[in-house]
Amino acid sequence: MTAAPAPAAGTGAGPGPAAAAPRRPLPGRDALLGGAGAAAFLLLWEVVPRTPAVSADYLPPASEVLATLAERSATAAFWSAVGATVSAWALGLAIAFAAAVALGLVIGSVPALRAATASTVEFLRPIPSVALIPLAILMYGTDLRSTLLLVVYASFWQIYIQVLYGVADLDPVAEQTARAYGLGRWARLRHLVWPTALPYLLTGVRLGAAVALILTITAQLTIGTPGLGQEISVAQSSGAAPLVYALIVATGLLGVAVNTGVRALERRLLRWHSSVRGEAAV
Amino acid sequence: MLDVDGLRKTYNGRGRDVEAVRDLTFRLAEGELSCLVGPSGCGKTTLLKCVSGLMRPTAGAVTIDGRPVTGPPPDMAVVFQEYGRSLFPWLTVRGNVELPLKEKRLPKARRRELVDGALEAVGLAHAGAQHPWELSGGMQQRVAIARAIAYEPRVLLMDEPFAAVDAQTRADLEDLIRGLWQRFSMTVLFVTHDIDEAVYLGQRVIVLSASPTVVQDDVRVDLPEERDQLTTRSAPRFAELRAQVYREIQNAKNGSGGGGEGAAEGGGTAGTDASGTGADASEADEGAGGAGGADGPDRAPTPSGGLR
Amino acid sequence: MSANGNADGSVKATATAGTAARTGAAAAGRVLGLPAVLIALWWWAAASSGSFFLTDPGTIAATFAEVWVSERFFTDVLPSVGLLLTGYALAAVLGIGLGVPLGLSTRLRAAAEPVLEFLRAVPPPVLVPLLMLLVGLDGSMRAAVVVSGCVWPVLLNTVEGVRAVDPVLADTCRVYGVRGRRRLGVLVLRSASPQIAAGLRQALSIAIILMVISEMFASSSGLGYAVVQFQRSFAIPEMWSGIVLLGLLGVVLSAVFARAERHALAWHRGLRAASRGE
Repeated sequence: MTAAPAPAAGTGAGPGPAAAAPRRPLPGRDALLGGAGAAAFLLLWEVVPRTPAVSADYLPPASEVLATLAERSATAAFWSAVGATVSAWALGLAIAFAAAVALGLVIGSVPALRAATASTVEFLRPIPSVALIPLAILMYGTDLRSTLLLVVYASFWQIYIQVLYGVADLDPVAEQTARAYGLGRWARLRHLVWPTALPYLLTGVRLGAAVALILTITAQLTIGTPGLGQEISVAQSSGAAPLVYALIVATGLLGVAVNTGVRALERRLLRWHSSVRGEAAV
Repeated sequence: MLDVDGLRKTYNGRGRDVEAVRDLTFRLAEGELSCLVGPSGCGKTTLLKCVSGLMRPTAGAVTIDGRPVTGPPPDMAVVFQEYGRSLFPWLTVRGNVELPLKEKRLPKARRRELVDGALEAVGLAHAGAQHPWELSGGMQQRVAIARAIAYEPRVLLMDEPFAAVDAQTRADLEDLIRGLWQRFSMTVLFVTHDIDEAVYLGQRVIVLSASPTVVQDDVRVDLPEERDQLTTRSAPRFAELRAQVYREIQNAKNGSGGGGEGAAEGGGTAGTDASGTGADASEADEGAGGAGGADGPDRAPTPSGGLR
Repeated sequence: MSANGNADGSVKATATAGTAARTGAAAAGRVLGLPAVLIALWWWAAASSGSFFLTDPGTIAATFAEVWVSERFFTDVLPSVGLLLTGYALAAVLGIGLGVPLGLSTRLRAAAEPVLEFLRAVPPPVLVPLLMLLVGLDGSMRAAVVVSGCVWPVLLNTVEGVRAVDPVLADTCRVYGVRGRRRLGVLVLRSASPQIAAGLRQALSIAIILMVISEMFASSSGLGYAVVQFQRSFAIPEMWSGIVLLGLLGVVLSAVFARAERHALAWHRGLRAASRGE
C-alpha cells in the first residue's frame, strides 16, 4: 500500500526485485476505488450504530463523531492540546535523533566500542518503555519531562540501531580508497560514512517518528500530561462517547500527517539513493 | 505437434498500442529441437509466453496436437532465463524438483525415482539437500532443467536459459541440453539471441525479424546429430549456416528499418548481438557474479561428456 | 536481522587480526564488562545520593525474589502474559488472513488503501479508552486492545510482502500447475514471510505496550496494575522490581521471537548473504 519503501535493513524485501513492473492501472481508477472504499467505511459506520446490533451509546454514527470533531476543532482548548502533543512528539524525537546519531556514528565506527556495548544494547533495546511509566510519574509527575522520558527512550533505539547498520554497511573498498587518497577522518565521515548511513538513518527516523507518537499519546493517556491523550482520557471518564471517537479520529489524522511527512522527507533526501538501493539482492 | 498460427500480440501502452508480435506462424514436429533466434527486443519472450499459455495472444492460436493452448498445458515445462528467480529459495534443490510432482499427486516412490533420475541426469545427484542459492549460477540453471525433466514433459520451452551464465558453463549446458533431448525424446523450443548457440543446438533455426515480429526465415541445420563444441563449431558447414542466419538477421533489420520506431529500438541492439563471433561476451557478465566462482565443480560432472 | 549479521561480518572482517588472537576471557569481558560497570555505577549512585526513588540493585534483586516468586506470579504475571500472547496470536492470524487477499488483488487493495492508511496511523494506545467504552474492563477487553493494535503492522507488511511476489516464481508455479492451497503455502506465504516477520516483530513491541497500559489504565489485576499500585503506594523497591520484570518480559519475548525468526528465515539470510557476498 502506498509507497512505503521497505526499510533499508531489518525487514528485508522478498526474494525478487520489488520493482517488478506491475500492470499499469488506468489513471484515476485507484483513486476512485479508494474513494469508494472510504465512503463504504463511513457508510458502514453510519448505519451500524442505527441497527440494534450495536448501541449508539458505545458507537456513535460517523456523522455525529465528525460533527463533534468539527465543533471541537473550533475551540482553542483543542488546538492547545494538539500543540502540546505535537511539540512533545517533536522535542522527544529531536532529542532521540541527536543522541542516536552522535552515539551511533562514534560507536559504530570504532569496532572495539561496538563490541563492548553490543550486549548492553541487546538487553536494553527490547525493554518496553512503558515499564518506565511509574518511574516517570514519581520523578516528574505530569510534567513534560515525563512524556519526554518515554518518547526518547523508545525512539532512541529505533534510530540508533539503524545508524549502526548504516555505518556497518560502509563499503570497505570505498573506505580504503578514501584512506589511500588521504581523506582525513572528518572528510571520510562527511563524504563516505554519512551518505552510506543516510538511508538507514531515515528508516530509523520513520520508525522512530511513529513510535514517538505512540509513546507521546501513551504518556498523556496514562500519566495525564497535557495533550490529546489526556483529553481522550478525560472524555472517556465522563462517558462522552462521541468526543472520545472524535479525538481518536484527530490522533489518527495526526498520525497520517506524521507518516506522510516523514515519507516525503525520505523521498526528497533519497531521490538518487533509493533507486540505487531499492532493488533487492538476487 | 506444436502449431503456432497467425499469432499476434499488442500491448496497451500509454495512449497508443504497441505491436510486439505481428504475425507468426510455424510448426514443430514431434521430437524436434528447434531454436528461435532474433534480435534483442524482437518479442521472443512474448512469443514464448503465448506458447506456454502464460499470456493470451491478441489474435491467432497456439495448439498442441490440435488442442488449443489457453493456459499452461500439463505436458509442457518451461526453463526461464532468470534461474535465480525461478527457483524457490526456501526449498532445497530436491524440494524444487519435487514440487510440481507433488502437485501432480504422484505417489512418493515414483516422485523419488523421478527426482533422483533428473538430478542424476543433470549431474547434481550430490546436491539434493542444498538450497539453490548455495550453488553457482550454472548449477542453479541445472536445477531448473532437472525440475523440467522430472516433470516428464512432451514439450520443453527454454527462454534464453543460458543468457546469464558465463561462456564456459554455457558450452557445458548446451551439450547437456542436446544429451537430455536425445535421451528423453522431447519436443524442444529453445529461444536465444545467440546465433552460434542456435546453430549448434538446433535441428532447425527459426529466424525472427525485429519488432513487430514475423518469421524471417526457417533454416534447416544439416549438421551431424553427434555434435561437439570443438569439431562442430569449426566445421565449414557450421560457418556457412552461421553466416546464413546472420545475414537473415541483418536483412530483417534493414527490411523493416524504415518501418517504425519499434524497429529502431530492436535494431540498435541487434547489431551487437549478431556481430559477436563466439558466445556473447556482454551476456557472460550478467551471471558471472554467481557462476564465475564455482565454475570448476560445475564443469566436472557433465553427463554429456560422452558426446565429446 | 540480516543486516545485523552482515554488519557483524564486516566488523569481523576489519577487526579479524585483533580479535582472532584474543582468548575466551576477553570475549566474556566484552559481553559482561559494560553491564558490570553500569550496575556498579547504579549501586554507587543509589548509595551516595540517598535519593528516595533510587533503589540499589541488591535491594531490587531481593525484593524481586520476594514479590514475584510467590503466588503473585500466578495471579498477576501469568494471566497478563497469557492475554498478551492470545491477543498477539489472534492479531497475527487476522493480519495475515486479511493481508493475503489484499495483497493478491489490486482492486481490493486500491479500495481499502485510504481506510487502512488512516487506521494504521491511529496510535494504538487510544484504543484502550475506546474499548473500555465498548467492551468493559475485563480480560477480553485487554486481549481486544492487543489485537486491535497489533493487527495493523502485520496486515500492512503482509500486503507488501504478498504484493512483491516475484513474477518469475509466479509464472513458474503456473507452468508447473502449482495452484490453490499449495501455491498459497509454497509461493505466496513463503515469499512474503520475511516481510510478515518484520510486521510480527513490530507488533510484538506494540503488544507489550498495550498490555501494560491497558492494565495500568483500566484493570484491577495484572502485571501493569501491580506495578502502578506499588508506585501509588510509594513501595519503591517493589516498583523497581516490577519495572525489572517488565523489562525482562520484553527481553525474553524478543529473544524467543528472534530465535523463531532465525529458524524460519534461514533461507532468507542465506540468499541475501549469497547475493551480497559474491
